[in-house]
Amino acid sequence: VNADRYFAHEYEREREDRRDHRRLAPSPLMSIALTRSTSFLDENSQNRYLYFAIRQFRDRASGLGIAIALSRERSLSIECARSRLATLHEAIGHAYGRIRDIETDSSALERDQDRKCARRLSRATDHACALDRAVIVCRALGYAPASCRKRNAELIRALEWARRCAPDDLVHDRERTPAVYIDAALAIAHGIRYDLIAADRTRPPGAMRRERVMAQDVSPLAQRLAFMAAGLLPSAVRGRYLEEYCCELREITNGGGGLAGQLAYVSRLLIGSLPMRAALLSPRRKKALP
Amino acid sequence: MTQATQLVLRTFLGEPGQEMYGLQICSRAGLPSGTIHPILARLEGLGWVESFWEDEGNARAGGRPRRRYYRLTREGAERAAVALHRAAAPVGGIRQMRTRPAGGLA
Repeated sequence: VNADRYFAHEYEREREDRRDHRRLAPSPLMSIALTRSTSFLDENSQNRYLYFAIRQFRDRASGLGIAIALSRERSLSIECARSRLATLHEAIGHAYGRIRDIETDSSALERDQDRKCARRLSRATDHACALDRAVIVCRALGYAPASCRKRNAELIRALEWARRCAPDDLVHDRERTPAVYIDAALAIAHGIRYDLIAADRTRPPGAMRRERVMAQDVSPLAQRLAFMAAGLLPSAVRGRYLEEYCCELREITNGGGGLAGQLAYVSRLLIGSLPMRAALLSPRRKKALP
Repeated sequence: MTQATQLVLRTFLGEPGQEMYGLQICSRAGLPSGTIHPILARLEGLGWVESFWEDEGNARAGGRPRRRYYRLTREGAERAAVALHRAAAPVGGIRQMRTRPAGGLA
């Protein structure tokens, strides 16, 4: 009776377990025990079998529970792994997107840098061109005075050549104008010379000293005559001789030469202007004698 | 070669290498300024004489305008010496070549 009760109790318990765990299959040992307990085995044997079956059942049930727990853990771990995989997939996608962004950014940066480099190169090229132009201009500026001098010399030579090659009438016409001026200047100079000689004769004894004291500056008349004497010379050397005459006039004045001395000097210059002009315009031969 | 040119050359050769300005040459050669300047221009054109302006600083220190100095060149000195020697040579040879009228017998 106790065994039946125990068996019934265990049976109910198993049914409850089955209800709880529907996935469990019916045990073959359990069915064997049920059939043998009722038919041909004695009570003790039946009890022993039952006890053994119950033990096995319990072991199997515990093994099944462990398996269920393990399967649950496994499913949980699989789900966890799946979720982790999804997270990993998301992370990989994010990383790919980031890489694409970096590539895009880097290509844009490269393009921007290329543009900047191109701009700098074009500017450098412009600067180089400007420098080249500046060098050319500097060289031209350096050559300019020399070329001016050369052109002046060429012009003088051309004028001399033209004067030589010109027809005689033209030469005479051109020479006539300065000759007229020279004659006028000579007449003035001779007149001044005669006046000076006459003045020397009629000058009182103290006049020379007074004249020296008063003659601190160059006389305007002497200056005008010096200008006239220089004006009769060729234009290429006119400035040089005018400065030279003025310098010598100043030297005479500083040396105590009065109006008479200045006028005498200038009148001699005027007289010598014609041979001076001829000497300056005559063709120069290296082996000629002066 | 004229006497005036010879005088100017002798003035230069008297002090070789010494630069002189116009009035100085006039006073040493004893010639007027109107004679000196054409001679100097001719000598300069032939390359016997070179001319240059005085330094501006020296002229200012002296309280006067700058002078134009003249100096005999080396080639000019050699040629001037030769030319003066030839000019000073006796002209007796030429005189001897002149025909003289035959003397009368009467």
